[in-house]
Amino acid sequence: MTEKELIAKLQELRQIKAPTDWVNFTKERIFANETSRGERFLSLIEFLPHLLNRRVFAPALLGLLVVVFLSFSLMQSALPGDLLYHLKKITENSRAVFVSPEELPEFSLELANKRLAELNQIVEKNQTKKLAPAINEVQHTLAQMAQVLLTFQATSSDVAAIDKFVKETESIKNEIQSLKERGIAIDDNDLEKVSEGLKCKLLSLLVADLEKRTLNDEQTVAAQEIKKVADEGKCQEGLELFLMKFNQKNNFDK
Amino acid sequence: MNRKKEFSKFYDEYINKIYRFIFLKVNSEEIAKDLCSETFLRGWEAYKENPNIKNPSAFLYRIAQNLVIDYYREKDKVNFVSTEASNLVDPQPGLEEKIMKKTDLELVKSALVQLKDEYQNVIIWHYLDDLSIPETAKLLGKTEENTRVLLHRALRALKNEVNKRIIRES
Repeated sequence: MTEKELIAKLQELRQIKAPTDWVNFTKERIFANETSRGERFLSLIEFLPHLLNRRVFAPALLGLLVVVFLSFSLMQSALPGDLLYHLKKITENSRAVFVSPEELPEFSLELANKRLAELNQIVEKNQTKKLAPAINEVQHTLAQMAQVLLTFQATSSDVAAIDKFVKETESIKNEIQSLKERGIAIDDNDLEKVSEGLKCKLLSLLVADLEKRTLNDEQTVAAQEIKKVADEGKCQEGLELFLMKFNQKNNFDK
Repeated sequence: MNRKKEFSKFYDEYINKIYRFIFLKVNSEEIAKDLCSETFLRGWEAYKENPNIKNPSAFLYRIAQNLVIDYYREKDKVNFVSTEASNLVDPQPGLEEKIMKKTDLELVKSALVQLKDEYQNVIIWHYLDDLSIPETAKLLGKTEENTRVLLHRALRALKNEVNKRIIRES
């Protein structure tokens, strides 16, 4: 073998590479040993009483409090892809723990609106790097919202609340449609199901309410017509019929 | 850029080079993985505490080299104590090794393993990792002129070793 051939063979040895999975796993393992920011923060809190006992540290402590306050303010306006965004999500998740099952639908709609507002902000500012995480956040929140709204148990006293949910869902749908027109691809298949499900829930409550009322002949015919449409699963049509026959103002508050 | 980001960049840049450097010396995928992850773990521990490390690649190669030396030292000790334990140190060849054995590259690789450490290093750094003579000289702690001479000798030694094996096999 000549020297030239030998060098060529040596260069072929470059094909020896570490397995990609192992490379990624090892990298995570190396940095996982790092103390997390949360742990550092906790150790700082443990140290605070010692600082308070020393007057010289008072200005430093004051400065620290100012920094914490500023961080909190920045956290509120953080967008997906920002460093403080994870903290914002943590505070939201901790809020969710204290929300009662009755308040959960409203809370999930509020979160969906927040995520959409963040995405809109990113689109407005043309922050392309943050686009992917923001879309992921929207889709994740929409999926959670769909799960909550499709599974919650409505009672007859919930008519006004469901009407509000229907309107808010429609508004979210319009918002997504307007984002789609600007070229933002969002998977909103669940949203259509939610909207349809809420309308059917609302219609079934209204039909049940009509059955309890004393109606004149004309109203009885109208009520039967609405019930028939509802039984056929045409909920949007049923609601329009109800509004036309019984409530011109589209107001379900009683 | 903070230290973690900097080291993460070095990791991405050098992981394959360091892995190959170790693999060519220990001839085992599993051991190469172990020593390579240990190299980067120790590298990171030192790098985050010490802002004076200006040349992390040299630093990583040095850690890797010391780990390989320790590995062989330990292996010799284990072989002396028990012949069974040596199986634990040299596991079954991995997929990469099996592929290598099917090609004539194995010939070059096995010849390279037979060379003395300094020759292996200069060949790997210059011909496989594409380091220039000045960069290789820095890693070796030699002058450029001495590095050129060393490279010439290393290549000649490798050629002799390969040809010896070709003759033996034919």
